[in-house]
Amino acid sequence: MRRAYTRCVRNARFEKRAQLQSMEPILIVMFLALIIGLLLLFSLRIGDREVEVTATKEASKQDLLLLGRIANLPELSCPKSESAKTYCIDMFKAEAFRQLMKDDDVARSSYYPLLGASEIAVEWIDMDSNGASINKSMVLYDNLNSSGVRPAVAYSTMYNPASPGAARMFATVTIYRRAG
Amino acid sequence: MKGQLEVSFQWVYVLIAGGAFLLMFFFVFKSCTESGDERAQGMSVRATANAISLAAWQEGSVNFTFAADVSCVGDVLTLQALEGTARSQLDQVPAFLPPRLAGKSNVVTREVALTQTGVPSIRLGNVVYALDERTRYYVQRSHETRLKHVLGNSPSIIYVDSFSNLQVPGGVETVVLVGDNLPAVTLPQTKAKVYGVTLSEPQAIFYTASNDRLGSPKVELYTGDYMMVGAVVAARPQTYRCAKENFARRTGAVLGIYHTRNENLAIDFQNIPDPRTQVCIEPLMRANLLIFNLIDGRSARLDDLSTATTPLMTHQRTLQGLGCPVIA
Repeated sequence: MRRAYTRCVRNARFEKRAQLQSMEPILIVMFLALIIGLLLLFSLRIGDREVEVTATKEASKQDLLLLGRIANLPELSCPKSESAKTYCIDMFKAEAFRQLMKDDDVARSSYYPLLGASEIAVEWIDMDSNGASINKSMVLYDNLNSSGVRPAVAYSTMYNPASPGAARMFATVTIYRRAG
Repeated sequence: MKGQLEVSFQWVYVLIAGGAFLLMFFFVFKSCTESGDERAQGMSVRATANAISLAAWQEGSVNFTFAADVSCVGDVLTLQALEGTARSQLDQVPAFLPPRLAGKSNVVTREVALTQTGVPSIRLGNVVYALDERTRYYVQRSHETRLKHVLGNSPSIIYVDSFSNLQVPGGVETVVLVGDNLPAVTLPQTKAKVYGVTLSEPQAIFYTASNDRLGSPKVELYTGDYMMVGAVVAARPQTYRCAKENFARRTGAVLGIYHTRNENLAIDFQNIPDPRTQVCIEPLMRANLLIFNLIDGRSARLDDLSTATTPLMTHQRTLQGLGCPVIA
């Protein structure tokens, strides 16, 4: 009885080993597939990261180019006689442009190829009647529906043709775009 | 023996499973490549349109490589992939493009402004011209100054004294003949598509030509040198009209901004009791009336712009002389 039991246990062990042996190639294939899959995921991740970095660099470059273009648009820039040295924005043109972008959807869409999904604001330092400086700002174009934004800033001159002596004030033009 | 058989049977299963996997990967890869090709085709046309749209905002010259058919679909300038159905619109950009873009193209952006010596110019916007290396323009020498002024020197433009015995090189896909009296011209022997443009003040007459004869003329009005060069580059009345209308829209927007600016300036001046500023109100308002008459809805009436140039520049000179803010 005991011998029969021992034989039965031994047979069961043999069968198990044989089963394991027959499973061996499958296990090897699965292991290799797992390693290849992990390698693929890893390389994809590295590729994504590289694309992300390049895109951020490219976007910053494009923002700076755009800021230069904005200050040069006939829609915003000072008369040629006033803008020989620096980027110069005519305050009254800026106000007219702001109104046009706010009221006229067709006109706003025609500037989309240039300005895209962005918000463009201009800030400048003006003087009150007592000579004290006041910060003023104006949103020229708003076509951005996003909370996460990245700004790019350029320095400019704000020209007021109505002020005595046609004052020129220090200004910054900021463009906000969706981050990421 | 039985165990060996079982093991080899397992290998067969593994091979079948592996083969199935490989087949699946192959089909996935193939479908990805096919959709990638389709996407690339669409992206190429879209990228072309984007590149032109962006180049339109800054004066200068850029080289691009792209392939597209240029047409005017429902008054919208459209680029279509040379092979396939991908399309992209250039609906907002005043771009004068040849009927077909096939190889490397030189895109030139020129600023359009009203100018007079000694007076600040009145800027009106930009116009884009693309010259494709596989389009050859044969231009009668009488138009050389005008074209060179706008397009500069280009290997695509050849100035000729007469159109007889033109040797069109192989690889050229489109030929545009520009002259004073095209119906009398013998067309060059070429496989390229031939277009003809006659420039006579104040009209541009387009001909669609084949090697048998010149087709019936289609007449389009043009304004100024920039529009005339546009007629030459576009070579077809429909594409010319599309770009011209886009230019009129931009000019209309710019003039609209000048109008609002000057109106607000005049209101501000009325509130300042300084005789030096009071002097500026009348010439500003006169200039504004002229600008108002040029704006037709949201676009400028380009044909009137040429006649309004002298009076507008006279107002600009007056304002400058009085020490007032100029029109623009």
